[in-house]
Parts: sequence; C-alpha cells; structure tokens
Amino acid sequence: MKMKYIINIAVAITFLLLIGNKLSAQDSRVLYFMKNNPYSTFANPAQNINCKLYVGIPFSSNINLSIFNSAIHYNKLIKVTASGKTVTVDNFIETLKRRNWLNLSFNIELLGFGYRVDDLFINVSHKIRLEGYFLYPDVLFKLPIKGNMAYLEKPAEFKHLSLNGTLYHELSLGFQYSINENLLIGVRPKLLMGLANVNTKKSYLKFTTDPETYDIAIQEKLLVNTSLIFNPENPNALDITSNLFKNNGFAIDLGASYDFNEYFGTSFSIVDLGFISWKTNTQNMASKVENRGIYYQNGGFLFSGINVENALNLMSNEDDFGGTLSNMQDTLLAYFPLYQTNKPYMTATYAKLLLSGYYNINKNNSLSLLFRGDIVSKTMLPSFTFAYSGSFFNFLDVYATYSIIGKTYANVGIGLGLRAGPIHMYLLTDNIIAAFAPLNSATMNVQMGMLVHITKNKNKKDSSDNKKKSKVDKKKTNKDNNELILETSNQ
Amino acid sequence: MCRFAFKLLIRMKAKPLHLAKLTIFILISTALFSCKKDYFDNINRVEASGEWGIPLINTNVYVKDLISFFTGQEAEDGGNGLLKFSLVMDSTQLIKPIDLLKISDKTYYNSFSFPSADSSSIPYTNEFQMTFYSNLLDQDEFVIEEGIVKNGTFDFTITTNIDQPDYTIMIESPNLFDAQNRPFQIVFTPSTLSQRVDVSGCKFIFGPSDQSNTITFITTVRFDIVFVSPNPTYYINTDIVLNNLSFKSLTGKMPPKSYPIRFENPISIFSGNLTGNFTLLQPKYSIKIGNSIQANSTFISDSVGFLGENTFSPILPSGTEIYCAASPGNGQVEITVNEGYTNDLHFSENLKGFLLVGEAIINPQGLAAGSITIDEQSELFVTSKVEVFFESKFDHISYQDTMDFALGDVDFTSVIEEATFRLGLTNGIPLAGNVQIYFYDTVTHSTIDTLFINPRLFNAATVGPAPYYKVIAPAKSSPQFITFEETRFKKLKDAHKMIIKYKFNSDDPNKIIRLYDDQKLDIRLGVKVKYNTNSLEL
Repeated sequence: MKMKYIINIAVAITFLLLIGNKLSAQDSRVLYFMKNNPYSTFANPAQNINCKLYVGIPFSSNINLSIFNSAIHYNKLIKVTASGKTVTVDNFIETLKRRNWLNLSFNIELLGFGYRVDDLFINVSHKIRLEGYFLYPDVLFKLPIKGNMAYLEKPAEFKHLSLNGTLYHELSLGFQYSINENLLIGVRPKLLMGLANVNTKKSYLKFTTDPETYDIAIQEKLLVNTSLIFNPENPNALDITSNLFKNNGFAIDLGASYDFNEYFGTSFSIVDLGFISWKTNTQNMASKVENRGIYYQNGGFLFSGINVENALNLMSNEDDFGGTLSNMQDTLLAYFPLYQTNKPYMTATYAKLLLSGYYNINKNNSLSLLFRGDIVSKTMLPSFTFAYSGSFFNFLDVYATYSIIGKTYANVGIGLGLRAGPIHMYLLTDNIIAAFAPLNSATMNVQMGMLVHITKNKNKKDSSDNKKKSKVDKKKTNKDNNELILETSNQ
Repeated sequence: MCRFAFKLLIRMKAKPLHLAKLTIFILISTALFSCKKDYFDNINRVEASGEWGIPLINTNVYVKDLISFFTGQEAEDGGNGLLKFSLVMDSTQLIKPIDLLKISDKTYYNSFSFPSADSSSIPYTNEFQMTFYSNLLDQDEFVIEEGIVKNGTFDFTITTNIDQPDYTIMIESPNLFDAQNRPFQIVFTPSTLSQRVDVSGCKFIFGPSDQSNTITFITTVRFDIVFVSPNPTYYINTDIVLNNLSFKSLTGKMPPKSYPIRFENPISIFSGNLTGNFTLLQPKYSIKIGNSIQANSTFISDSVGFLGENTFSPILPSGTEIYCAASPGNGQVEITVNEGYTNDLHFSENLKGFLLVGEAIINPQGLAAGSITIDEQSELFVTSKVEVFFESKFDHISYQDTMDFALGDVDFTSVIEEATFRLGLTNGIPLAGNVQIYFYDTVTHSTIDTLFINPRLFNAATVGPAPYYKVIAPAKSSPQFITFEETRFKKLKDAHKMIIKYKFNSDDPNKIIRLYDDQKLDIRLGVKVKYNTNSLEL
C-alpha cells in the first residue's frame, strides 16, 4: 500500500516537471471547483472546503503563472510554404478583434496556513503577486499596416489601448463562517504593499482622414503613471529597502455560497477589490494636442499639407533637405508635447467577479458552471467555464473544464489533486492544449502547489457539512470521533 | 508504446489506477513530440499590404503673384483692391545747363591812338565793347542781363609806343564787379603791360545797349609829358583773351527755346515663351514735367502710346499741350497731368514698347515773359506714367517651355503598387486654366505620355455684374488624379524632354473681368500610395 502511494507520487511529480515547463499559469479557473483544496478559498472566501488544518510548504504551496494572449498566435502570423515561411501580416490583422489582450500573471505564496474552529475557518497568507494587462485595439496594428485609407468611413480610434501592471506583496487574513446549514459567508481583508506599477489612466487617440483631400486630423489624450521602489537612474539597495512599505493599499475578498439542497447550490464572490496608493519614484506622463500654430484646429491637430510659404521658412538652406525635414518634424511634434510630473497617485487592484452554480451527480461527482469577469481599467474580460469534478479512491481528485475566455474558445482545462496522507499536491491548468501548441494557444497557465492538509473528521458531524443530509446526535460518542483521522472523507 | 497502451486499456475497468498512469503517460509522450524548435527559422517573405493617403501641399496662389510671375512686373493696388500695374518711363534730362552756361573762348582786340604832345587830351580815355558768344547766346538768342561767373580768365596784353618815362594805362568796366561788388579795374604800368585777371565769382551786369551780351571796357591812359616825343601820336593796342569763361547762373531774356523729345521704352511682358491676347480697358495715363528752370515750359505731344509690330496705340492725342510754370528760386515744379482715360489698350505678343515723341519749349512766352534765370541746377524732364488697371476683355495668355528630363537610375520600387497624386483646385480668379506636361522622346520624335488626362485644371470663377465685376462664387474643379505604377514609370524612362504648356483664358473674350488682390487659387495636392510586399524576398 505504501509503495503504491510512492509510485503515485513519483508519477505525479514527473508529470508536473515535464508538463510544467511547457505551460505557464494564471489564476486558474479550475481552482474554483477544488473543494478539497483550501486554496480554492482564494477564488471564493466562502468556498465550502473540507479542511481542518493546512500548512503550505513555504514558497511551494501555491505557485501560479499565467499568460493570456488572445490574438498573437503563430498560425495567424506564420504560414509555412514549400520555399520557407511567410509572415502573414494581412491575415494576422484580419483575425484581430476590436479588443485584444496580452496578460501576464504570477503569484507565489511565501507563507500560508489555516485552521478551523467549529464553524469558523481562518487562514493567513503572504504572497507576491504580479499582474499585468495589455489591452490593445485592432487599430493599433491595422492602422499602420493597412493605412489610413481603411478608415475613411469611420475614423481609427484607440479608445482601449492600455498597459496596466502591478507588482506587490499581499498579506491577508481570511474568515469563513457558516451562518446556517445552507449558507456560508467569507471575507478576506488584505494589506497590500506595492513594489512597481504602470497604470494607463487615460488613453485616447482618434485618427481621421478626409476621403477627398486626405487631410489628417488627430486628437489624442494620454496619461500614464509609473512607480518604482527604486530610482531607475540611480538605483541603490538602501532606497529599495526603505521604500518597500511605502506604497500601501488595501483590498478585500468577499464571498458567499448557498446550498439549495443536496444537489444544487450557488456561490458568488468578488476578489481583489481594492487600491494601492503609489508614492515612491512616481512619474506621471501626460500628453494632449496643443495649439502650436497653423496645424491646430477644433482642439486637435489637423494636417492638410504644407503651406509653401511656411516651408520656405523652415528651410535651413537650399541643399539641406535632411535639415529641412528635421525642422518640419520638430514643428509637427511640437503639437504633441509630453509633460512629466512626479505626483503620487492611486490605482485600483484588478478585481474579479465570480458567480457559479453546481449540480451534485452523486457524492463524488458534480457538474458546475462558472462566470468570471476580470475588471481592468473600466473594461471587463469575461469568461465562462463548464466543469466536471470527480473524486476517486479517496486520494485522487480529477477536474475537467471547458472555458470560453474573452472570445477564445479552445480552452480545455484539467486539474489533478493527489492526497497522499497529509501531503496534498495539486496541478491545474485552464488549457491543456497549450502544452502541445503553446504558440497557438490563447490561455497558457499552470497552478500548482504542495501543502500539509488535514481534513475534517468524517464521523464528526458539523453544521458546515452534514446538516443537509442528517442531524448530528451530539450525545453519540465514539472515541474515534475525538481523534483526528488520517483518511480523508469524500465530499 | 501502442501495445502497452492497449494492454492497459483492457485492464482499465478492473484497475482504475492504471487508467491514471495511462493518461499521464500519453500526456507526457504527446508533450515531448509536440516540441518544435524551428518556429522562426527560414522566414523569407512578408505578406503585407495597405494604402496610405497623405496631404502634401495646401497653399494659395494669389492673382498678384501670378501676374508677377508672368509679366515680371509687380501689380499694385489701384484702389478698392483692384489691381493695376504702372509703366513709368523717364525721359533723359532734356537740358544740360552746363552747356548753356559756357561762353566760347575768344580773343578781342582794341586799338586806339592819340596825339603825343597834346596835354589837353590827357588823361586819354577810350571805350571798347566785348561781346560774348555761345550757343545759348547766339542760337537761342539769350540776352544776358546779369551773370555770375563760375570760372574764367581774361588775359590782357598791351602794346604801346608811349616813351614817356612814367605812364599808367587803366582798364575798367562798368559791367563787371568783383565778389565784393567793386567795379572791375586793372592798371598797367610800363613794366606790367601783360596781366591775367581771374574773374571767378565776379558778376557781369549787362546794361542796356545796342548790342546784347556785350560789356564795355574803358581804357584810360595817364602820363606826364616830360619831353616832346619824336612820335607824333601814341597808340595803345590791347589784346584780351577770354578763357574758359563759364557762368554759375545767367539772368536774361530769351525767345522760346524748343527741344525735341523722343524716347522709346521696350516692353517685355511677352517673350518667346509667353504669348497672349487681351485688352486692358481705359488705362489711365499721366505726364509729369519737372522744371527747375526759372522759366515757364510747355510740353507738346506728337506721338505718345504703345508700339506694336506695325501698329501704334496712342494714349495721348497728338498736339496735346502741357504747361509747367517756372520754378521759384532754386526749387522744382512738377506738374502731373492726368488726362483721364484713353483708348483701350490691346496687349498681345505684338506689343513691343512705349513711344513718346514731342517737344519741350522753354520760355514759351518769349521776351514778353520777362527775365528768366538759368543756373547749374536747371533741368527739364518729362516722365510718362501709364496705369493699367486689370479690367479687361481677356482672351488668353499662353506659356510653353521645354526642359530636359531624365529619370536616370531612379527605379520604381516593387513594394509600391501604385502612387496616385490628387490635385484639387478651387479657383477664385475669373480665368480658367489649362495645363499639360508632355513627356517627349527625342529619338523616336514622339510623345510618350502626358501628365494629366484632362488638361482643363480649373474653370473660371463666377463673376458678378457691373460695375465691380467681383467674383461671387469660386469654381471648385473635379480633382485630377495622376497615377503612377511600374509600367508607366518604365515608359517615362524613355523620355528626354518635358514640354510644359499652360494657358489662362476667360470664358468669353468679350466679357469684362476684373482682377482684385483677394482673388486666389487654392491648391491642394495629396498622394495615395498603395503598397504590397508579397513580391519582396527577404
């Protein structure tokens, strides 16, 4: 028996090592369905988990790496022909959507643990988190490649071009409480300490071309803030250590889950709802079209051709075409000045809304449906996940998911949880296809971890687990019920 | 591997753990086989295409600039924005006072004698006249009343046979005064019988006399009779040589003096390249006479107007008299005579120049006018000015020129499929324009290509009614598109010459149009470039 467990663990680790380097990870949607994994409370603090006590292996309990790339795929960019490869720029542009994402996320828990006292479950966690979102419109590529003649009927507008990213560490304290046999609520306040940030506060560009005269009108507004804990022009260790705790913020996770009966239930959560106030080495870069002469009209830049008289004034001398061109370039760029200040600013963290419903086929198998919306800079990246959860042989949890993320449809996820006594290992991905075709996959993520996990006593009936099935006889004694058990109970 | 998998499958139902192992094994194998390390090797082509439109030029050309370009003349504001140009033609200085004020060099001789022993005749006096000669005095019959000498000398040489030991011969003149207004006097002694007198700064006052322009010298001989001379009579011979006598000013009387005037100014509006035909309506002319002679003057026209190949368009009727009063003191009087508007002026390539023929008469009233003064500052000039307003019946102006053309090593890049230039014109000038550029092959003597499909670039702007004929609506023409692609570009490489032709014309040569300073041609030039990289190998 013991040998079997060892073989199982070895195979699982091999799998992790081989697959892990092919996949990269984000906050996995599969995690939401893992009711035997205490880390599912990070997706919903009111997640009904079977946990008495857990201690995360430091630096290895919850590692989460993810890339979401909705548009830049190999098969859209490269075409293999008999004579070689062709970069199919035109084809790539046709496949771009109005909004496209390139997101990167990395979380690692440094330290974490949790324990239950009757109906209250408390957990503590310290993590470093990196979240970056690059939202770009199709116009970003389409305009320079296809040209402004493709935007005669409707101007080219960059309304949703933004780069947002935050690196911070997070100290959280989670509380979960059973109100009654059906309802659980959870809350996790979090103290945030920012390390680096880039925030696109305002980003707008409108490029209009007159169909007859080709006059070009540009309106633009840009405001980008950045912050670092060190001065990039003069980095020093003293600076870094003194600034580690200066960019403070606060966030909160809220959640609730409700079981209608033994078969159906629903849950809702909002996580990472908060803000960080940035004060160290801040830079605010702002740009707006300004009136610098004849090319300014109606609040924007309007270029309708060179006035010959003005061109003569720009000529440095007759033979110096390069100098004249340079003068012209400087003249035009003067309409788009970039101003820099160093004011502190505040950013919101990237909140996520999660809403799900489940159906229990039996005590070991269930089906679920999850909606998740990532809120970034007044934009929501929606996703829908359909999941199967299964528990086998008291030690193996299997999850299979299908997700539609943004407008990408090829996301087949799997999750494995191995419970070898108190050791619990898990590996999840929202898109296993990415392991085999990484350059053509929109979602590439992996979440994994290892922890010591002690579940609730299976014979001990408490309000969070068994009230919907039967009432507990408090007078019934069993010396085993007073002991912690090593064998886990199924859901 | 497949056999192993098959065996495992058979056992799947009874041993679920094997199912897990099989799944993991398949995943690992597939992951390993899915590795591809050469994703970006051997990229040799890029498929990209697009089209960019860019405005190039947005400028205005005012009609004033066009006139300057075509004619080489600057147009001016003729009032209320109506343009005009002025032809100003100066005559040469008609009178050169220096010539008038110069007196001819001459030697004068006077001789007289008296009895040597008659003491009652001592002192003996004798008068002789010296008459001045010059063109002014002889031909023009100027009668000097007064003259101030600028420079000149008299050389006196006396020969005599007086043998008395002490005698003096004094010559004086009641007509000659020095700068201090003292009468002229010179004394000769036996040892100083030859003397030179510089009369610079002296004043001659010519008194009434039977002979004009004549001064009187009085010779007085004094001596004491010490002994009876063997010569029964004494003689005095006086030679006076007049040298370089020139006056600063002369006052006197003169009959009318006529100076013929003729000058011709070429007009080069039209050249070999520029031809045209239009009539400018009622140009305004003026004749300016400048007179700093302290005498009245009159200009009488003979022929004043524009010369053609074999034609003459007068602007002033023959025999027109223009009177200019004498200048006061040393000033100058200018008379501008606006004789109003004259006949319509026809401009064509036959127009060659401007002609002014007539005569200027100084002191037309003659002796009845009284005394006149001529000095070094005196001058008389005649200037003609013709103001031509751009109100015309316009037929056309045409220009043609040939220039060398060679594309040389310039090649049309294969990335650019096509470049189309768009020329948009809004014309606020009441003239239409046709422009064409021909690309010519001198080897085959043929035209390879023309720049524009339709040479009619813009129509005339709509003109309102009389009397102002202002433009009430500019003419916006359909844009001209000039497309270049590789085929056309290659053809142009065979061209050696570029022939440029343009023509401005009005819709109706009998209709009146006016050119105002606010009329302009708006030019908008843009380019649309279509590119495609499919044929480009990296």
